Amino acid sequence: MVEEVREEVKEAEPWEPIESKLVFGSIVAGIIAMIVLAAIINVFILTKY
Amino acid sequence: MAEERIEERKWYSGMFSTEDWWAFWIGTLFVILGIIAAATHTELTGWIIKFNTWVDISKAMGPAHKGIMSPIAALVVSYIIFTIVTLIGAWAMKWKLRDYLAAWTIIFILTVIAYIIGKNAYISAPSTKWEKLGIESGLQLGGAHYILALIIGLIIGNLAPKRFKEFMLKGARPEWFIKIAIVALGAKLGLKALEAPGYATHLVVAGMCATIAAYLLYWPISYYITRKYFGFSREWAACFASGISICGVSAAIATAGAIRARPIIPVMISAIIVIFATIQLIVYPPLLTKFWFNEPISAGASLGLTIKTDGADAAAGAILDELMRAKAESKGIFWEEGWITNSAILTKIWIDMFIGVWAFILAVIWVTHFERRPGEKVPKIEIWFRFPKFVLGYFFAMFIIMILGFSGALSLKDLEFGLKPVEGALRKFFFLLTFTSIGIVTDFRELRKEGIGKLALAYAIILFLIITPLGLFIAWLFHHGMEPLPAK
Repeated sequence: MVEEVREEVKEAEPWEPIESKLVFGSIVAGIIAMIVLAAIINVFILTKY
Repeated sequence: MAEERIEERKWYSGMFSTEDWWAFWIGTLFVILGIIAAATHTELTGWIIKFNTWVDISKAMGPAHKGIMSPIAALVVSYIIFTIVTLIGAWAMKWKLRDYLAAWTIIFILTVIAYIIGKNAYISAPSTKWEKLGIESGLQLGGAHYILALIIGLIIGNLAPKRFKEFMLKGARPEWFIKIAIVALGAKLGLKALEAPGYATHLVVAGMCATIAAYLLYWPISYYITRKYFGFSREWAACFASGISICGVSAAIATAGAIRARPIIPVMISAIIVIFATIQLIVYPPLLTKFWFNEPISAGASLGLTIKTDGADAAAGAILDELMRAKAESKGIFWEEGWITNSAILTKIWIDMFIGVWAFILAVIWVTHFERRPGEKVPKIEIWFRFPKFVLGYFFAMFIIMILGFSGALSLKDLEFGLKPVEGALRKFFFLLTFTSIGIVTDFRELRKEGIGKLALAYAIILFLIITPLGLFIAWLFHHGMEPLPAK
């Protein structure tokens, strides 16, 4: 088990463009979701508290 | 072979063979019993054992409906019925029944002991209740029974002889117990919604929105850091990122399945997740109570966004609920029990639901880009297979009670008669069974194993420097200003 962990680290594949797309796309989606949904929640719900 | 197995699976596969489904069945069974009791005014749920704050030990426990039987009879009946229903589940899941029964019985007894000791008035009662209880001093350790159960479990998990610990693992099922409790919590939210429909809806919606934002940010940041700075391979980084970002052990396993990672990977990551979740369960509630008392619902929601196992999250939510309310009571503010726990669980439940979608997205990316298997498609039903089924029980319980209450089919008083023992006494007891079990399955000795250090270091750095601060911010952004409703 321990050896497998070590081997994995040695054998890490190079970063590929699709990984950049996945990471970048998810972060952008997350930031947009956070801004839009927070605006909705703050305007329609949290103002009541 | 794997493809054939996927092809053979039907939408109903696993309905009687997984812990997740059995949490749904058992939790829903008790909710339905509660509804029948409400409709017929029969004592179908009143026998459930309830533990009280006590000075005189003869009053430490009793049936949920006072006077229908003696405390000992309620304890024995509860043991027999809980044992039968969980044994049926264990039988259906093909566990070794004799081992399960023996280990479950020991866990049941230890949990009862922890509950009774922890609820002693001198240990747990807040100063506002001393006069009523007839005492003049006390430690005011609200939630002491939770910590006591956890300590008992941790002693078994870390100090007991290996054979005994392995034996106890046959009955220590924290995720199963907590999922049953969470279904019962759905009944509580349903009853609360009848009293305050607007507030309950706001909590559900805010929790869902916070979760979407959180996990879309957690996953890529965790994946990027582990790939770029810790040199993890893709399959390690993907499983790790899902585990630390979404729903812990089940996310790591689901991701491993989706990208066809080797089985060892989710096993190693799961060990780390369980250990850190237990640390968070002990540390976060008192810290949040001390430093974020003015935002109790945000604090609860932050637990769901940062603690990565259902058991530890719900357990931490229950402790936070106790600590926050105890602190509030010392200031003359009286909050209803359960809202803070619910805020912790709602964010976690939404996160749990997204793993199906995320595992599907990862499976598509892996098949089409990394493994390059032209023509192969990932069936959309995978989303359903990954969906946590106990969540259906939570929402079923909530909605059926709301429908019955709002339609006038049953009055709130009737519903409370049948369901209070389920959403109160039963839920709290299964919460406590979870605490004992979490302790048993948490083995801090895992951290000493050579080779796991890097994994643990990456987990600690990302959890405490990325997930936790971001979770606190997002929880605040979506819940700031909300407070539990005043106690009646």
